[in-house]
Amino acid sequence: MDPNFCPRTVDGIEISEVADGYVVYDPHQDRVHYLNHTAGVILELCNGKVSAGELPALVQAAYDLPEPPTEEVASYVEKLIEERLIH
Amino acid sequence: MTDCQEFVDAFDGRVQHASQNFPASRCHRLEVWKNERGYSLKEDGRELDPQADAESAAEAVLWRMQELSLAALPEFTKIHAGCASWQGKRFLMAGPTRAGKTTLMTRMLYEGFAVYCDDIVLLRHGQVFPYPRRLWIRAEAVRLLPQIVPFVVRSRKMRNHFSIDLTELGFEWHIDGAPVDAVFFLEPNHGADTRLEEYPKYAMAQLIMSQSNLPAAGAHEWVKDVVAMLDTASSYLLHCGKLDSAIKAIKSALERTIDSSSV
Repeated sequence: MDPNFCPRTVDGIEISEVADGYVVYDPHQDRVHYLNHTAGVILELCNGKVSAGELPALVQAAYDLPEPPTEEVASYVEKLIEERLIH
Repeated sequence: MTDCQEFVDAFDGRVQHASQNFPASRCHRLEVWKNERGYSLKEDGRELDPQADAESAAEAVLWRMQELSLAALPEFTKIHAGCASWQGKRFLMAGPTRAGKTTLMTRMLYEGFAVYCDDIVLLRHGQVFPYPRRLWIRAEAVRLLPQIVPFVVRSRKMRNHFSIDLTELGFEWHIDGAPVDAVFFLEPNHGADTRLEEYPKYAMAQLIMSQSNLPAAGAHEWVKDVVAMLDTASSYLLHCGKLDSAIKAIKSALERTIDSSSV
């Protein structure tokens, strides 16, 4: 993935947070997605200004991890693109 | 309206006797008339399919009443779930057909729970409204519920089930809308030990939505309703084994549940 790519949440999707994750409704595809907390945090960070290269460090800080979870974040981003929640 | 006591008796054996304070929003006229061919049925002057006997007529009328009452509530999310409370903690017991909801909720009656319904609840703006129907207990489940045997022997078996009203069992039955403190999703583990696990709410949302019909307003409201309900409730997956262990696990979970009224 291009580290300079700045993913952005698709307009119109509705994000509802629950205690340990997110329920996301995509009215364009009329689909509901159920995201764990990490996937939800990444989704919310995809604001078009944060690059894919910066995401792992942000997640590391959010969860106070010893190292940036680079592969896991890349996997989540790919999945969110595949589900058409970000572009 | 009817001219037949036989129909009245058959109907009374099927209708529920819960008390409630919900205002009536619609009014319908259902007529049942006996004739030489059986029973003719009308709804608001319109002919319905005729029925051969009083039992079939009673069942047809009751089903139509249920369809009409649910149709009068299009803004509600309808969930395949029971609803009960124990020591002031109100909860939902959701799960697929044959998971054991009715058997478990019938047993709860004899364990100090107040049971409001076992099959359908209506959800709107975080408030859960039990939809009262008679318990429809499978004949093979009666052996797990010895307390109801005296009532079952007086009942008629219909399609391998016994239909029992909570008031016939001697329990009070009043329903109203309120938030829930806990949501359980029932997975059958019949005959084995019960296992209870705290379950992430985003995953519980998926389970609940798999057992519900979206409201007329669409998926946006559906998601809002379910999220609002889960927001103030603890969430558990109940692998339901023997009834004794299931009841113990549920009580233990409810004791740990945060009292939403104190938040």
